[in-house]
Parts: sequence; C-alpha cells; structure tokens
Amino acid sequence: MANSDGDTGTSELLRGIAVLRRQLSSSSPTTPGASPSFASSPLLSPTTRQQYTDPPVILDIGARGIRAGIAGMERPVCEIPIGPDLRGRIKTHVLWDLDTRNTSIEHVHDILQAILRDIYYKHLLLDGKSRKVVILENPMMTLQLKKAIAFVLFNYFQSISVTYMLSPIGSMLAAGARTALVVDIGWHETTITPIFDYKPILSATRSTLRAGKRLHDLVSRTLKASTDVIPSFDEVEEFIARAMYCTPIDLSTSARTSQQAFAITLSGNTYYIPSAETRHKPLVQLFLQRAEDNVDDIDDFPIPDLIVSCLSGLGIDTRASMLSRILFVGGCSNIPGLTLRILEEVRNCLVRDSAGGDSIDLQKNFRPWTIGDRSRIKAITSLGAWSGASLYISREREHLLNGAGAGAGSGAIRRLRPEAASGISHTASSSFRILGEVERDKFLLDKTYADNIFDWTISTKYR
Amino acid sequence: MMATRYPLLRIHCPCAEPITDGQDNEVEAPTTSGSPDTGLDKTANLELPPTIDNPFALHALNSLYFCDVCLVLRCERCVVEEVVQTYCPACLHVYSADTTAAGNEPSRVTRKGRGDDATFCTRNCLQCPLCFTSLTMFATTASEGSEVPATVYLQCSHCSWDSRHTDRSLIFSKHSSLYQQVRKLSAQRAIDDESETHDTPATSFGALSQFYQRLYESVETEEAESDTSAPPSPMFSKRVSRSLETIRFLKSHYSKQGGPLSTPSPAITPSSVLGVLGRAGGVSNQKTREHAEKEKERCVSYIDEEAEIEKVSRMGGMTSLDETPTLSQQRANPFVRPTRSSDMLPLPTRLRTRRAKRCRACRHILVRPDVSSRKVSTSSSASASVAGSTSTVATAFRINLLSKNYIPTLRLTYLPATSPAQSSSPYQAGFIPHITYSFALTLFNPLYEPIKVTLASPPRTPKHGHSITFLTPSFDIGANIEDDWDLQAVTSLRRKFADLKMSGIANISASSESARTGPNLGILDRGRNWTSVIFEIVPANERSSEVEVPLFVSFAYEAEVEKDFGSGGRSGESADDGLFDKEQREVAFWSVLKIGRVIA
Repeated sequence: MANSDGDTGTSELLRGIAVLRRQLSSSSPTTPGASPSFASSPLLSPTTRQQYTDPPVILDIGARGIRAGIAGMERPVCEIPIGPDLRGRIKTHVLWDLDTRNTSIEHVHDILQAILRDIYYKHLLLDGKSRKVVILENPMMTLQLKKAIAFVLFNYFQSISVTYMLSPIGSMLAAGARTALVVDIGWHETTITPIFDYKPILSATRSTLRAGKRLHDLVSRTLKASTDVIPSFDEVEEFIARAMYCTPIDLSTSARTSQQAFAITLSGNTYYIPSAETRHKPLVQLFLQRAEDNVDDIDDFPIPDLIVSCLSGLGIDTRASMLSRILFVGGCSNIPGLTLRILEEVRNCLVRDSAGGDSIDLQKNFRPWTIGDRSRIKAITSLGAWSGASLYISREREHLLNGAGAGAGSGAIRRLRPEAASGISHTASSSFRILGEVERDKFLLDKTYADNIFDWTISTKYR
Repeated sequence: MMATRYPLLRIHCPCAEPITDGQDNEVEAPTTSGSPDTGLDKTANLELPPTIDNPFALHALNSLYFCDVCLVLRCERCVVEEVVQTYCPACLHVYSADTTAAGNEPSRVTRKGRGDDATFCTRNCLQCPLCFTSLTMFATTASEGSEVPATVYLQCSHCSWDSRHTDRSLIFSKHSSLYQQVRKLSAQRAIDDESETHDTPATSFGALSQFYQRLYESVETEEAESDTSAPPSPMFSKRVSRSLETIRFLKSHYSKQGGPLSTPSPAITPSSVLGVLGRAGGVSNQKTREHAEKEKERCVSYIDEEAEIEKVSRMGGMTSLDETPTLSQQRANPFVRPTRSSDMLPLPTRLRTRRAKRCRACRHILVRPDVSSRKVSTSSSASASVAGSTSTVATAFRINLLSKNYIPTLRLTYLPATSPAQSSSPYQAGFIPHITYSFALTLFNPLYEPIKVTLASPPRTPKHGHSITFLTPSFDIGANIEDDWDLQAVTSLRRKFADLKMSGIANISASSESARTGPNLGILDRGRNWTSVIFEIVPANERSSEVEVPLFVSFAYEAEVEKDFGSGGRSGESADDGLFDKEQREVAFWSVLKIGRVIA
C-alpha cells in the first residue's frame, strides 16, 4: 500500500506509472501484456484456450459461509453455511478465527475440503478438473488463508488455476458504479474500502471489530438475560436474521410497536421477550454507540465514525464522489433498517445543522462541502459481490473469446490488453489486483512461489 | 449433537498426513517392516499415526475404496472424481450422460445454453419450501364449470403445505413444466413487490451485463481510433510514452499558471488537459468518460429510504419468529430470497451426480458408473415428458472397487462375563473403571486366498490410558471360496454367542479356558473364512472418557498375478509354467474401535 497519502490524484498517477514499470521490467503473471508471460495471463491463455471455454467457478469464501456458482449466472448456485455436519466432523461454526494463532491451518484444510466437496458435487454438479477458480477476497484476508484455499483447490479439486479478486470491487461492479465506499459488515470484522474509478484505495481501508460475531455474542447474552436459557448458536443466528430490525433515529414510528412482546422458541419452549430490548437495542448498542467515555480502541470504532474517519483519510476530490456512493454489503447489512440508520448517523456526523453542538470532532474535516446538504449522502444498492464477480468475469471472458474469434488472432488481443486502458479493462490489468492466476503446477512444486505469490506487497520479481 | 451409536468401527486413511500426491502414502513405515509373526514385539514400539484422532481421517468401511494397483485404501480425499451423469432424484430423468469412455467433462455438453437452470430439474419436480420434501400435484375440482382449463395445485405430503393457501394462492394453469411457471412467478414477484428496495436480480443483472458490454465496446472502438492517430514510439510502449507526455505537459502547464498570464497556447485548453489526463490516468478520452458517466447513472440505484422504513415498521409489528422463514428456507430458494413465511414459492429440485473415481496416485479407475441409459416408455400421464419415452438413470456400476471386498471386515461382540455389574452390554450402559471386559473381534476374509492377519494395538489407549490386551495378535483366516459363506458364518456365530449369553459364566469360562490354552490361544472360534479372537479392556478411571481402541490390522496373502513376460530373465525363475505368478502381498491399515464411554 505505498504512496497514496495526500492528494489522491497524484498518487494514482504515480501508482499507474509504478504499475507500468513493473509490467515492463518483469515477467510475472501480473502482466497480461508482456509477451513472455502472456500464456499465464489471468483471463486468456492461448495455449489453454480450450479450457477457457468453460466458465470459471466463482467462490465467495467467508468466515461463516461459502457462496459458489459459475461465472455468468445471476446469483450463486448455493450458499452453504459453515456448521456442524451430519457426520460430526465439523465442530465449529466459523472457518477461521480472526486471530490466526487460534486457527489451525490443517483444520481449515479439512473443513474447506469437506464443504467444497459438497459444493462441487451436490450443488455445482461438476468436477473442478478443467475449471479455473476465482476467489473473492476481503482486503483484510490473511495470506495463510489465501494459501490454504489455493492448497485445497489444487490438491483435492485439481483446479487449473486460482485467481483472487477483491470482494469490494465485486460489490461495486454489481451496483453498476465505478466509485464507491464499500462497507462490508461481515462476521469477524466490518471493513470499509473506498474505490475510486475502479481502483481500490487500500491505504484508506479501515476495519472495526464491531461486526457479526460481536452482535452474536451480545444477542446471545441478551436472550439469556430475558429467558434464562442459554440459546444455541443457531437459535441466536436465526433470531438475528429473522427478528432483528433497526429503528430510525426518531422513534415516532416504532414507539408503538416496541411495547409488544415477541414470541421465540428456545430449545422447545416458547418465551415471550420484550421487543425493544432484544430486537433493536443491541444493534444500536453494537454498531452505533460509542464507548462510554469515548475511548474506543483503534479497531473498535462504531461504524458511522469509521466511515467518517475513512472519508477524512481520502483526498478532497475522491471524498465528494464517495459520499453519494456508500454501499453496504455483508451479512448484517440485510438487517432491515440498519443501513438506513448508519446512513442517518453519518449524515449527522458530517452535516452541520442548527443543533451542531453534539456532533463529533471529526466534523471539522468536512466543513467545506457538506453544509446543509444532507441528501448528498446516499447509499446505493448492489446485487452482491458474487454477482459482481460473475458479471465481470463472464463479460471479460466473452470479450476475449469473441475478440479472438473475430479473426484478429491472438496478436490483436495481445495488443489490446495493455492498451485497453480505460474503464473496466484497465482495472483488470492493474487496479483490480487480479493477481494473475496462481497456477497449479507451480504452486504445488515451487515452495517459494507458493509462499510468496499471495503477498502482493512483495515486488513481482520475487514472486 | 447426535449421540454416537456404539460400537463403531472407523478406518483411518493416512492421506491427510503431509499431503503428497498419494505416491508415498503407503501404510505406516514402522509396522510394515518385519514378518507378521513378530506382532507382539511390534506393539511395544508401535507408533500411532498423528491424525488418528482427526475425524476427517476416519471413515466408515463402506465409504472407502481399494486401489488394487497401489494396494492401499482410498478415501474420498485421495480419489479424483469426475462427474459422468446428472439426474433428477425425483423423476430419475438423466440430464447429461457421458457415453464416451474418455475423461472429458460430460456435464459441459448439456450445461451449455441452460444457464442458471443447469443444476435443477426443469420438469415437474418441485419441493416444499418449508420442509423440502417432494410436492404432489393435484387437479382442482372443476367447480366453476367444465370449460375451465385444467388447473393444478401442489401439496406437501409431509407438512401439508398447500400452494393454494399461500398469500398468492398459487394455482398453476398448466400441469406441465411447472418449473418454468415457478421461475416466471419468482421473477415477476420481485417486480410487483413494492417492498423490494431494488429491481429483481434478473432484470438488473441483465441491465448491468448490457451496460458493461457497451462499456467494453466503447473501449474497443476508442482503442482502434487512438491506434491510428498515435505516433509510433519504438522505445516505449504507448502507455508509458503517454504518461511521460502527461508529466511533461503538466509541468509546462503548471509553470505557465504560476507565471504572468500570457496568451494561452492553443494546446492548453481545459479539454486538452482533461484529454491528456484521461489518457494517462486510466480513461481513454473524455468522450468515453462522459459516455460512461451517463451510462453509470442509468445503472446505479439508490436505497429506497421510504420502502426501507416501511419494512422496518412491518418488522416492528411482528410478534413471533414464525412469521419469517428460517435461514435454511431462505437459502434454499435459488431465485428469490423469501421474506415472509406465508409467501413462499415451491423450490426446484436439485439434480444429483453419478461420478467416476480414480486413485489419486496411479489414476487407476476405482469406480465407474454404468451410464448406458435405458429408454423407458412412460405410461402414466403425470410425468408429462416431451416425448412418450424418457431415459432414466441406471444404478449399476461397471467398476466398483469397494474396500469391503478387499480387506477383512471387522465385527465386535461383547462377551458377558462373571460379575453382575457387567451383565448388561457396555455399549449403552457404559464402562466401569478397573473391571476387565472381554470382547470377541471377528474378522471375515472377503478374498479368495487365505490370509495371515496380524493385529496390533498400543497397550494403553493414547488419550485416556485404558489398557488393552489382545491374546492372539497373529492368526490365519481361510479363503472365501464357497458361495454360502455368508449364511454359514453368520448362523454359526449367532449360535455361538447365543449359547454364551444363555449359559453365561460357566460357558464363557469354559470357552475362554480352551481359548487360553492349547494351540488356539486366544481364538474363540473360527469358521471357513472368519476367525474370532478375544481381546480385553480394562478401562482407566477417567470419567466419561470415550473408550477408543486404535487397532492396526495387517494381513498378508499370496496373490496370483499375471506373469510379466516382458522381463525375460525373471520368467524362468517361477516354478510352474502357468500364466500366473505367485506374489506375496501385504496390506495394512489403522482402524479405531469406538466401544463406549466410561461411567464413574
């Protein structure tokens, strides 16, 4: 994540030049244009054209579940949650722990191969042999995990290659935008990734631990307090997904309903619990409220504050366009009203109004361009990261296949690739960080390659 | 968590230990050395495989295969699978079949052009959205008059979900291709439903797809134009020269800005700056950019805040969890995520696969389904297929190297013993510490050759220290030649154990007396292709610890293999002049006997 402090325009330019230089000087798989490595370009290899007629498999591997499908589909074929299986082999509900010291990589291998086996043979109905795989990765995904995923796919499913694509990019593409502030409220972490003109500004990426896992623990405690029963993992998850909602800031609409009791069933018995305390207060407490004495740890900011601080870390010109392009994705963003409430809070933080006394300190960074214009801050909808990846991959594939088929030959494509600088194709070469593909034979045979290929901070010539 | 049913036999597959490509995943090195007769000595320095307690490495005998080239058991992880056929589990219709023996991917053939439908049965097979059982189709009674076209509704025979009693009161106009009708409905609903905050994926996905296609095209034409206009640069690629040009241009531009206002040179106009900037910064030119901007506005949709608030107030009015579908019900629908329990559509049925399996080490085929589809003419009108006949899935296999045909099958029987505390079987009742329990372990030989078996186990279980004693670590089992071996073995065994149970103490002591002395030391009984041996367990005093016995089974036999005439000198060595050579084979594996729990 080098050289993007200060003004974004300059840094983008510098970055672009750096990328170009790297493309010229090295023969790594990241350079789709350089002829020596063209055969290993991520999206078209003339030698393996035949294999490329098969659309790749796209996997969105999260801590709590895996979405899988084939490129070109609207929605993933299946969404498999991670949890105890019928054979009693899987005992956890998460694929990995945020603290990698608590995660055994062998265990990740075991679980992943078992679940992917189900996905391939019961849902996708194909064997991985002649397929390339595209993995959607969170910007914060650890290298160990990326390696583990590639390992399982190469070892047990004979995938030809594995390509990683940033998940926020996918979400943004599925929204039809080219600039977005992607807020991914996931299980372990909430990650905010600004993307400007198809380029993720990874130096400004922020994350907080206020995410699904915290919410789960909090709801679990709340339910126990009101029923005296310790709810099971699945019961809590069901409750969060089916019963929780977030109220707008002015409670006039929901004051009436929050008095009602709510019926839930825990381990066979029905309990009536107060609506307000259990169904929306935990959300506010977890995602929106600051710590008592306003001393949240650096990885523990409430989401609205994090959005504001992320924006303040951006250049002036990028900020403005981000404001009307906030995109909420991730499991918890499906909770009704939550995104709206976060948006409201962000507006309250950024926009100075008459009662500006209680706004937070961060506001001063934003004075020049937000006075009185609350409606500028808007959220956009997306079909989800998986669909975005599907769109992009299928479009790119079609484009390349057609281009080659039109008689221009591979030379035309070769010429086209680095030249297709504008728009989406450009992003394919550099900013999307589709890191070239990780190839099976190389990965399994060359240990240095396997260790370093995922670390994109290592200069390409060492990879 | 399900309770484990004891006794349980699991066979360990060592493939997960430092994963190689299967080549050197042979059985454990320390135990294969030496002749089978030294089994007792081996137990002293028996090394357990490191993954013996990993549940992913333990398999039921039925789920294992045996590679008869490598002579190793193969589990699901050390086979390579190929999909040869997909079929609907409800109507058994075959959707794709690989008739050629080649290993090319067969599912591709029919997947083409089927898009999202490729994994579903596109006929009449639908599932209940609540409990996922197959729905049954019923015709509505023609109460409104006979001229009304035939209409059908669906009902679940398990949870009595009825398509007529949903919010939409679903009644289908045709009794054929229900899948397509449901598909259409789910696409329609998303548009109709006001509470949906955005377009249905179907439409907006299509729109986005189109949008990106146009973007690609515009890029392409732009590139074609710029190619002709740009001057050739031998040293650098075009983009590099462009960025250098940009830097030079900007330098001059800003230096001019700083100085006194001179007459602007014709080159420096806002549009030219933008143009150069755009070229270097990733956008080809302004026109493309504007075009894209315009297009972008068309595709981006904002969150509908009113609808969202309405949704929240609807959620607030809910009084019970039952009003929303469960997570598994929500995930099950591949087209639309249902939001209300009362408004769910029937689910399509997922196809299943028949797969060929190969050994990962030698690529030898272990399983090959018979895919020759049979044409079955359908007489019933219920399955309204396209033609009068349909191909249904076959159940036979051409090759199926199941492990149970290659390695001895193990069976554990409890031998009731002297003290009254032990009279009930310890599988359910649990073990009492410090009491000796006797079990009979019966091994059946599925091979046509007699085998020499060696059993080995550590003297104490690794986790809890229950002590284990095998009286006979090494013994022979006869060949499995006669056809009625099954019946004979089972009836004989049954009689034996029934006797033991009835007469209890006296008999068992007598039989174990005979087992403890003489030439058949430790052998309880033996049949033509089976042998029962006694082993004893003394549980340690560890509350509710599981009694798991790691057991190493190794067996050797002489197999007849086809003579290798290629290597000239060797053929002369064999004693007989037949086509077959005798070859000593040894196969070994680890297994885990889960017998029960210790009660305190």
